[in-house]
Amino acid sequence: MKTKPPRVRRVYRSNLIESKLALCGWLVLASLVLPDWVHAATPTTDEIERGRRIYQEGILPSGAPLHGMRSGKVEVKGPQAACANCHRPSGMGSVEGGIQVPPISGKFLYAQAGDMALAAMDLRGEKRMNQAHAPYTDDTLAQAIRLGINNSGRSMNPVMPHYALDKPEMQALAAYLRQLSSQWSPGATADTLHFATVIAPGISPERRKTLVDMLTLMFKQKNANTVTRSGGGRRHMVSAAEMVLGTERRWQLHVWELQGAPETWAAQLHDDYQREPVFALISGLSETTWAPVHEFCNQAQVPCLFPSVPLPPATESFYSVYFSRGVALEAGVLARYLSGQGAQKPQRVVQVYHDDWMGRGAAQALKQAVAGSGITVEDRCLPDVNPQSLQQATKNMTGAEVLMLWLRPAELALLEKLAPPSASVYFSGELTGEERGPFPVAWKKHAKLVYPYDLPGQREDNMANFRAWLTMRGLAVVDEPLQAEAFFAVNFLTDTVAGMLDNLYRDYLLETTESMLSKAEGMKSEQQARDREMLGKPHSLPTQHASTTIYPHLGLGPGQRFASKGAYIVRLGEDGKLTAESGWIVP
Amino acid sequence: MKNTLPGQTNPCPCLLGFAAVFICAALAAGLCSAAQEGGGFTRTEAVYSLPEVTLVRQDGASVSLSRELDDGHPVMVSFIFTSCAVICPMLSHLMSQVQQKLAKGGEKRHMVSISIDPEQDTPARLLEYAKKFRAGSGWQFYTGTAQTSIDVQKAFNAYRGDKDNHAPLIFMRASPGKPWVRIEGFATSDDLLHEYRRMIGQ
Repeated sequence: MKTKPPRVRRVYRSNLIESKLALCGWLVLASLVLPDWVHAATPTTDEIERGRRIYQEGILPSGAPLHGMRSGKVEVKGPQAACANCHRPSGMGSVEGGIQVPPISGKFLYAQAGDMALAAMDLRGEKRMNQAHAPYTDDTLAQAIRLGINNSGRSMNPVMPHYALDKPEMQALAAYLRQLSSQWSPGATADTLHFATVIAPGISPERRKTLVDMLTLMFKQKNANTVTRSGGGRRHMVSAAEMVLGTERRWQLHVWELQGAPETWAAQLHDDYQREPVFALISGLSETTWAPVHEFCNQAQVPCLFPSVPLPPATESFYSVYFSRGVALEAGVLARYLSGQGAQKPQRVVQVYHDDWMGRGAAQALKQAVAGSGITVEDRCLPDVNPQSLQQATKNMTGAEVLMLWLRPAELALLEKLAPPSASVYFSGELTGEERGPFPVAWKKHAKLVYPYDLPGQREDNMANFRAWLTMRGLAVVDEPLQAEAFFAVNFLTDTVAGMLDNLYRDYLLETTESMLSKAEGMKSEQQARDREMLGKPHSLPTQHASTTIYPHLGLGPGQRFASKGAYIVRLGEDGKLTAESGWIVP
Repeated sequence: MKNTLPGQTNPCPCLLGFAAVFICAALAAGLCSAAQEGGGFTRTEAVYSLPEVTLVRQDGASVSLSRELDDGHPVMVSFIFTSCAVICPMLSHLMSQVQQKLAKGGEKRHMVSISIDPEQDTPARLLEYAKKFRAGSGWQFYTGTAQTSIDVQKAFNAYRGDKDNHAPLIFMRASPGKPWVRIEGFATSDDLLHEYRRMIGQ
């Protein structure tokens, strides 16, 4: 589907008057001296590329590092001086503390009075939305960049460095800014935003249905609350700005189901994308690798937000955001917990895992995390997981040792006929399906879980709205982590996209995600707690509320791609009631 | 107690621009060069009651905050996070310049930077950050639990609810028991050195 440029709409009469005055001023000025940009030829691709390197990488056309001087003679150079650090890759700016770094893409720099160049700088709402200013020219832009004087003749914030760019460098930068974020990203049209969720092969029909049902229902609910430019929908549960500006869109969900070996997934994803270029991937499901999807998103520059996967690739990419590092995080938490046991520190950890991509990944992560702690790790890798191989793998252990079982629910059930060893036994909270996993009773008594979720009590409180939503829609809790993750992913996307208004650029979606995640979660959690208080529902005010998810808190920052960073060690107990054995451990 | 020095303005950056322009329009440009150049800062003095907490230094050692601060000598403190794009690089560049200037004069340096994103800022990340700003042996970086970091920020009246909402702050204290000098806004390294020397009575 073809994208259209953002439409231009005149909004205020006063702006019209200003524009006329500005035009008169321009005619007078232009008759005196013609500014650079009047003569500027259409920029070449090379010139835009030179501008891109200055803006995004802090490299001058000569290959030398970009130099900037902040007030107080603080010099910045190279990547640290790149404009994108503060104005962000999309050029949409950022907010930090009381400092607003304004959007500086061409649409905002050169906006004429009446253009709808608006950005919400901060979801907290108290920071301005209107970016209106007199349009920059290439001359006034050069003055701002070289001298820190804006086009109203005012000194800009001291955080903005002054850059001694020469004329060709300025022209290249201006050429880059003119075209930066000037078109909606693919997948966004005037009325519709397309999203896809990717489901890897090997997922049970029940899990697949659970996810697809959740997402379908949430998209349906979102659309029922949407008023688009072509009409329809109801007017509630949207932001005031979104409603006034008419930037809402209908959302369409595409389900991309992968088949066969992971080596073939890239081609399948490219085919799916050719058929329907989506704005972003949302949620998603895999019980094995996710690397081909991660790679595809990196190559095609498609955001992938919050898939439910057990072991995301360790190499961070700008385009993929995960709940956590999955079992690699659990391995790190276990290693940190065990090595901090002082006199009780075990000498040996035996880890049992299925010889598949996930099992090997988890085992390798534990081995790496334990290295240097004085604990030895013995791998017992099972080509087939059955009662016999499990019995073989769990024997010959003493009470002072640790047995880590990287088992999934179906494999847990095979422990039924085996007696637990005298060693301390640990399981992965994520892989087993947390405390609701099918643990045999005899094992429950001894089992400890590495538990990446919030503890009971606080968790119920945080997720009261989620559970009420399921009840209202007649849905049962069948896989709470998966359902809660999908619920969060779509809700967060709804809020984030609403805040983006008409600035539908994929990199801006990621920038907004990284800067707003913890703020938005904190605000929402507190609001929900207050709502429960008003309705007389159980709540835990006045304790601090930071989450509406299964995780204690989620947070990102520039370049951060794993939102939850720790886990607890919990004891399962015969009655299935969890007892925390540790505080929140961040490896 | 709040002292206002010549050239200082309200630290709120959005007001700063207006204030600077207004003053400049009224006065000869030379009179307000400090306000434009330094961006302005406020200096206040306060006594803070610091919590007894354990932090983790960039070398991985678990240490007591009070013991790390109270070595009997002047100390300078900042709050940072390593993925911060706007305020922290500026503060850390300033600290780095102050460090170099003190080193030139052969003065003892004791600087402390505490993470406000401690779950992300592992000791390894702090070490990398320290290298980026050429931190010498007198400048240490600390992380800890999320709650510990919040407790310390609250004790310094520096907690703003979220790391992205933080303010540019540098604290300095002549010795244990003395009040803290709180610099809020964007000072230059010369401003900081001036305040430092004034504080230690040089």
